[in-house]
Amino acid sequence: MKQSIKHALRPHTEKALSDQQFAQLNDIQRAAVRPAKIRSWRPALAASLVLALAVITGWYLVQDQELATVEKIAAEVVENHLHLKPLEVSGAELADIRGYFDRLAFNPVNSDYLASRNLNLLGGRYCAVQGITAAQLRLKRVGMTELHTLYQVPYDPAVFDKLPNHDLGEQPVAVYNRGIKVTLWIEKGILLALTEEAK
Amino acid sequence: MFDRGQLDDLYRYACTLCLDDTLAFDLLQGSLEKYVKLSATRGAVENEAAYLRRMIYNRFIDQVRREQRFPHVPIQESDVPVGVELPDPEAVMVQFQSVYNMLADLQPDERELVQMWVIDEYTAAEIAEYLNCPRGTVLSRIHRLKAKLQSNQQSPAAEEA
Repeated sequence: MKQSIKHALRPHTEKALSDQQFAQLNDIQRAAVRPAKIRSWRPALAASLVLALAVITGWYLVQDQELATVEKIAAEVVENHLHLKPLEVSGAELADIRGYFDRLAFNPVNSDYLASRNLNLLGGRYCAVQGITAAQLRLKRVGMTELHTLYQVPYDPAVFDKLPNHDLGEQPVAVYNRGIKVTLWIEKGILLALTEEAK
Repeated sequence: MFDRGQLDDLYRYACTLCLDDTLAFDLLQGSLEKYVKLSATRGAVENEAAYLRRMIYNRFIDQVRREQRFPHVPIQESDVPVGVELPDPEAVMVQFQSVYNMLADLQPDERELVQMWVIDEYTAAEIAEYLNCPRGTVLSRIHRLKAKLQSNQQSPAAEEA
């Protein structure tokens, strides 16, 4: 049966992003906008020191501290990623190489957040994140040449401040450092940081 | 910042190009990441949605050229006068089993035209401004596109065969 082209395309015009997809795209925008917002509020807060504004200042200082921690973690993992130090243990399954990491104070985990990303494990080595011994896993996407590094370290809020928790449905935060995108999130009590080329 | 409505529009645009929801989201996400980085150093452009849309299109063409899935054949121009207005999409009758089949035989730039003409309902002048070509060229392309769609029609019996 014939129909107008406009009517034929109606299912197509009703396509929309899912809430998760929208949140991912929003995170990309927020990661770039947040530093500018912080830069813009400092002169205003410095000029007005009253009790009500002291509460707001305290809130912004917490946000600033959180961002500084995220940036510090990102800078550290990017530095390690770019150096691409040799793997200490090779293996395609985490279960195969978990025994090597007996000096860790935690059990490296298979990430549910990364389950659909088609990333194959190549191996790992020991490293440290903010002074805490961590696991550095090297990954490669099926059919691609780009290498990814996944860092795992026990999550300590005193050290790492507040970060998105995937177990609670929160979306990971992404920051960029030296042309590398670093995605950070908490899962199963572990802080995970994944590096990939910023496209 | 792009709001939900703008991102949905861009996603639908990417779906029209890619004919695959997953590829379309990857295309949109990659283009948005690149745009955010560019605007951090160069500043925001005047029409962000149009700029990002063009980025999505260029990125898509780069991908298909690399994959050589669809050889890129530019729309042929025509000197034959085709009227002064866009055909009304409500009056262009087609018969296809699915939207995918209707769009799959079109080149990427033809799919982009379908997006702007039928889904976004741009005027000929708006399409001409976006594509940076004369309004008459837009009319010519869309009339040829209409003829192509109406000649490519598939009946359910033909599809089963």
